[in-house]
Amino acid sequence: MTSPRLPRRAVLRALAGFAMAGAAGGGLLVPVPARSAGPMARTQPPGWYRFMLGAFEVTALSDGTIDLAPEKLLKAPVAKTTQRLSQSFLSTPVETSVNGYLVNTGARLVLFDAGAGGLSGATLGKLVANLRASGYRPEQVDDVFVTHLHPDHVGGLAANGAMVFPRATVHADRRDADYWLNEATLAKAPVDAQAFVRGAMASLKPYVAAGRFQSFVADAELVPGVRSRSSYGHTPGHTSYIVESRAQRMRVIGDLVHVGAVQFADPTVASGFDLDAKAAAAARIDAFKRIAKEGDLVAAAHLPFPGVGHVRSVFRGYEWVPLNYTRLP
Amino acid sequence: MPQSRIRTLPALLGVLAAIAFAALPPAPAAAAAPMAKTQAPGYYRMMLGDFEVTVLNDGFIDLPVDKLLKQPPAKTQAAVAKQFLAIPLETSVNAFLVNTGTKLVLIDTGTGGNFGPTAGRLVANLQAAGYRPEQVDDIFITHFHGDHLGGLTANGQAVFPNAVVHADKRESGHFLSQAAMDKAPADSQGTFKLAMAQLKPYVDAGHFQAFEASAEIVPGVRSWETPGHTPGHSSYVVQSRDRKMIVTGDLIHVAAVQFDDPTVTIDFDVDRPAAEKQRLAVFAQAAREGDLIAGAHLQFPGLGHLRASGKGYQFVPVNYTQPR
Repeated sequence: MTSPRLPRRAVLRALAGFAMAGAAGGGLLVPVPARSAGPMARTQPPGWYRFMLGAFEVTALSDGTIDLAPEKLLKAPVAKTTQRLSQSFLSTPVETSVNGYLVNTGARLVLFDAGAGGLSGATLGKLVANLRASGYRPEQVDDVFVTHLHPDHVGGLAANGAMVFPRATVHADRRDADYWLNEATLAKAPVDAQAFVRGAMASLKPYVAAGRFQSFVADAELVPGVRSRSSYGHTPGHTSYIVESRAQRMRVIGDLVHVGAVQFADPTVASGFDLDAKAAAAARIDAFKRIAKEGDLVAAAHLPFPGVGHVRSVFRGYEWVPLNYTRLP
Repeated sequence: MPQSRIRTLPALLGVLAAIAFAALPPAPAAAAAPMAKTQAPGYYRMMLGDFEVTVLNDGFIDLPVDKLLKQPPAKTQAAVAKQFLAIPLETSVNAFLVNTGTKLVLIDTGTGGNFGPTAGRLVANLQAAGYRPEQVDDIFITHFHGDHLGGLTANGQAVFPNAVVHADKRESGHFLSQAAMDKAPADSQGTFKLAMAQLKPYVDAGHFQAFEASAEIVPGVRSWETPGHTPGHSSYVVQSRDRKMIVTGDLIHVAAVQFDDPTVTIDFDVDRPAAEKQRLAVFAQAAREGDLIAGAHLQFPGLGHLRASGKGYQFVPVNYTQPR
């Protein structure tokens, strides 16, 4: 394995800059005084969506959205990225979803990724509120499986140093734990990237202290109906999870894809967030190939909420087919 | 009783087997939370220029699309499977609420429960979205089928007591006409009767207005005559600043088929060649000008753009956004 690098300072700065520009330039529309219409409601419904996977109940949870500048983030020519965005009727910055997934297996309540908590700005950190709105309480969660230890996936684990899911055991691949929960990584990290390491450490600390953090090695059967499948590259221990009930399968793929408008058409395009771009691209290509072949459902942290759908192989690359909106049985 | 004794042994073995299987999992199952089994309220909000658009889901109707579409069933079955869907196709019923800042406009009203228990939630979702039925100023009906006007009236009373209902004169002239009903085949009498009953309180109160062909009735909302599916089927173009959304009513029922091949018509179309022509015209404009499409039967929230592709189109659903 090539030695992982931390995101470059320039990428981080560019992302921060574009996020600011997005906040200033977009979304702020001058309200027109209402006559008989009444004031605009201007709210979005609570960000959760529920469906069944075999006998399991799956609830997609929105943590919010964050602006990303794909043409800066992606390792592809700017003109090509801009063209692909416009073919999907998008322009930079792209309001990008951050999603987690709650699965009730009937025996355990399992959460995949915990959102950003307070680590990534005010537009994120809504996962727990949406979990509550969906009819559950954080203390009911038995296990949290994190795809990797980036702040928008683990930040929601802790608040003010305390466990947000006080009865849960947190699970992650040992490689990610060894990398992020490590003073040596912090010492080597550029100043801009140190926040990522500190964020991971702070988010996991109360669980580690309580003996409720467990790392696993590569591909493992974790709880009945949930197993891990290594997809290293984005981070040293980035992991996908396969959830299976009654022959129906869903793959929780974490950060294997960030920008659907580009990376389905060309899965070789890596992102500036990938610590090992080459391995990350290989993991994405391998996953898309398997998923398209086997017809598995996919749950992706950064595809438009609820981020659940299928992947279809096309002439060149792949297409994303969002899940039909359905009633519950 | 001998029978019960015979059952005892297998039953006991079954219990033991269940215990053995239950003991297999490595982690002891904690008291699992009961499944919540609810769905989030069915509305979705988006800004269109200065207008606030709220898509309201009325629920679902199961459609045997392979029997309904006018092409070989095997072709439809293959197209549906390609989208990872199954037949009968669980089909959304959507309506669109637009707050222009001066008017609260509702386009279509759902089924009102006239199509069974899987639909009829429009008013509940409108309320969940932060509005009340009495705030609605104007209602535009795309056509007089029960899943579009069925939510106007309940128990003989107007559900939207302050609203004026608008529709194309050819539509009301047809479906509100006793003579037309008498001439219609027996199996479509119900459609006429439902339309008459749904419109009655509005007509009686002077709250029904028919318009001629294409007209701008509320600033920012104009009709676009698209007859074919029904004699007076209308689409509505909602525009604020440079952003445009076409509410297409029943110009499309089955996304898995009719984007790829917009020439495929459906059993519900009264004039199939005309319905096909209207679909082609609206899709061509939407793709050319980058207009948003808002479909009554596209999967909720039913909003997206069209990208020209081969002889047809690809539907690109809107990105999920949150008000900031």
